[in-house]
Amino acid sequence: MVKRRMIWLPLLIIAILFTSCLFIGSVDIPFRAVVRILMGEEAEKTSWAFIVLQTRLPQAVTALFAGAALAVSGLLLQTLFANPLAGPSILGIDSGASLGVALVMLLFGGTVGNFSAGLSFSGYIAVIIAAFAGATAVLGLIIFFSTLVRSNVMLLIIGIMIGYLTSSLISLLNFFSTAEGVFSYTMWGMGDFSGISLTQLPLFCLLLTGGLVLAVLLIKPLNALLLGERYAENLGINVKRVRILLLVSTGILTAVTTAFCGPIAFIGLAVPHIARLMLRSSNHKYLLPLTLLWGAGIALLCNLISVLPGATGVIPLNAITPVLGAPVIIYVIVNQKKIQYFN
Amino acid sequence: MADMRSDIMIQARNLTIGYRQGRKVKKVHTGLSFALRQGELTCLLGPNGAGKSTLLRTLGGTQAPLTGDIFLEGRSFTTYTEKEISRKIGLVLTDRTMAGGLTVFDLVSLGRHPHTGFFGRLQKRDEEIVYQSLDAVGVAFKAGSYVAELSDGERQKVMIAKALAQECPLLLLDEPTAFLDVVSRIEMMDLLHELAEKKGKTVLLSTHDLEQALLLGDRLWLLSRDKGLVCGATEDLVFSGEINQFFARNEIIFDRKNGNFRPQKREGKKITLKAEGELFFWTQNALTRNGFQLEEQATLVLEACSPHAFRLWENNQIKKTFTSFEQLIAFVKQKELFREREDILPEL
Repeated sequence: MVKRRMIWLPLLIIAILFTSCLFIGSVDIPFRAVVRILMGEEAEKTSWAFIVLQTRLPQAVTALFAGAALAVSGLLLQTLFANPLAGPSILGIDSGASLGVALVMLLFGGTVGNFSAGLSFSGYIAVIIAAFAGATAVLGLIIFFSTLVRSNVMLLIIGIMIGYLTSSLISLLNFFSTAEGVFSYTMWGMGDFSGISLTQLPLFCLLLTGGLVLAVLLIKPLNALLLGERYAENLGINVKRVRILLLVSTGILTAVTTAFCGPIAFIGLAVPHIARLMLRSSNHKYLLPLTLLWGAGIALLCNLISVLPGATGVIPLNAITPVLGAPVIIYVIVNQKKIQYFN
Repeated sequence: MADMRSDIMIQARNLTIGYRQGRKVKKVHTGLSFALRQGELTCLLGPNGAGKSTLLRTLGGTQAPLTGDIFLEGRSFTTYTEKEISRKIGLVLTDRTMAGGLTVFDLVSLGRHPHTGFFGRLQKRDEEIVYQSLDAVGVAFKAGSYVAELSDGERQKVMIAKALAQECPLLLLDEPTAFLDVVSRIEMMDLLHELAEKKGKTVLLSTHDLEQALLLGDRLWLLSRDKGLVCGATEDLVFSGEINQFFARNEIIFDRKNGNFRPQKREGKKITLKAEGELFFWTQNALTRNGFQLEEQATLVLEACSPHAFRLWENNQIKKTFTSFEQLIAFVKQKELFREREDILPEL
């Protein structure tokens, strides 16, 4: 079946990019040395082993999971709001998460919220919980407005307004915060996949796997929702419960990635479109797995690009994702008459 | 009691429908009583704002009645679970969908949802039913097309196929012909009537298309703000005058003879028409449109022999002949001439 075969291309790309992420980084490590380190043998320098195993590997795994999570949460939002231009950043959901993070980081200064300086366990749990609270609060608000405002474009604009409101709150918090707090928040806000150490990785992956599994379990009602709520209800779907489950799933996926990696734009918005354009179908049975894989692949690609300058430093992720994502969205909007899932 | 008949699909007595907004209760209708019988096509007619959609929503189980109970196959509605209802009632709505990116087959297989497992995987039997449903509405050849590529009529048929795939004995359709052109409309009504007649489905649809409703509706439900719900077999309602009363406006009357509504022209000039069959119908159409009233013994007589030969008599003298409707109408249109001298025709 053609649709099943579509899985192999992103899998291959993921494999290639994941390996590349281990071999390429800001520190120049010879190819053979990396191979030996991965085989569990001694390398010429002990620092090389540390870099590959403690930095590059967790970073690649983080990119893999974060990309998948953001892309899937974008897809869930697009179906939930019956709006192909919905996404975690456009609807202000990741800015809600950011507000939660800012509250913790800025109010408690640099001590609690500083990821790169080895955050205490309770510290990052607090950040995650705050991010989740912020994300779901905004999601709940958007869902509330979606019952008042029927127009999709208006709802997007409300999302953007909520984004502005939270940014202004964050600016205020910045104003009253300490210099270290502002610094660590600003670094976090640029977005990168390197903030997670090997010890934090299991929790990160576990939470996101939970969100992704929940999304996969919702494939059947998601398809029914393509017909609108009344039809879905008539097909025996408990629309209220499904909405809440979708809210929880997107909340976890967006909040956890945002808490650990910063607000990352465009992956959630653009990847579902890439997957749909390739699959030429909006049947979630195939679309959701494909979106998940392409999200992982594209996040790995962004991660790889971000370390390309080598010794000069790391490019912030949010400088890369729009370059990849914005053209896709513009293409989709310009060609919307020709693209089936818009009609 | 007629009510005890086993072919009654759904019935209610003394139902109050409406909706609650917070603590406010908005009653749309009180004291509604009705029944739908298996194998019948019922048309729900009524002006905009009469509460057709509220009634359909209540029947579809998405909006609970304020008071009273609905009985579906003899069992109270409240005892059904969502899943059971989804196997009894299939809805076809006019809601905008996001289903353009699904194939027709995908969309119709959504109708199998109440019957499939957690992930909605289709068994062989499900696929067969999907194809049968597509066949029944005549769009099986489109199974592989995207919904976005369909015409409005085909889309509507696919939604009906979805409802058929649900295997529900009762189909509720909210204005299924609203966005269709005339030919598709007739096709759609014919299809629904066939589903009722041949497959024994109970079909209730709301429509503004009275002519089609009179033609194919076994039963009419007339819903209005002031008179509530009037139900009856179509022809009974025609002869009881309910239809006329229901749609009564000052200048619109129901023409029982032709089964349609026409504007009532005042101060019509009297004329006798001599013609046969369809020629009579269309000549009458042209005359009444132009302000004439047909009468048995008028001084003015129009004799239509063929669509190309008309003779106009006045006091048993041929006044004028016409070789087409166009000529006839052009002559008759000179209203000011008629009005000036009531009984004398203009000399031409």
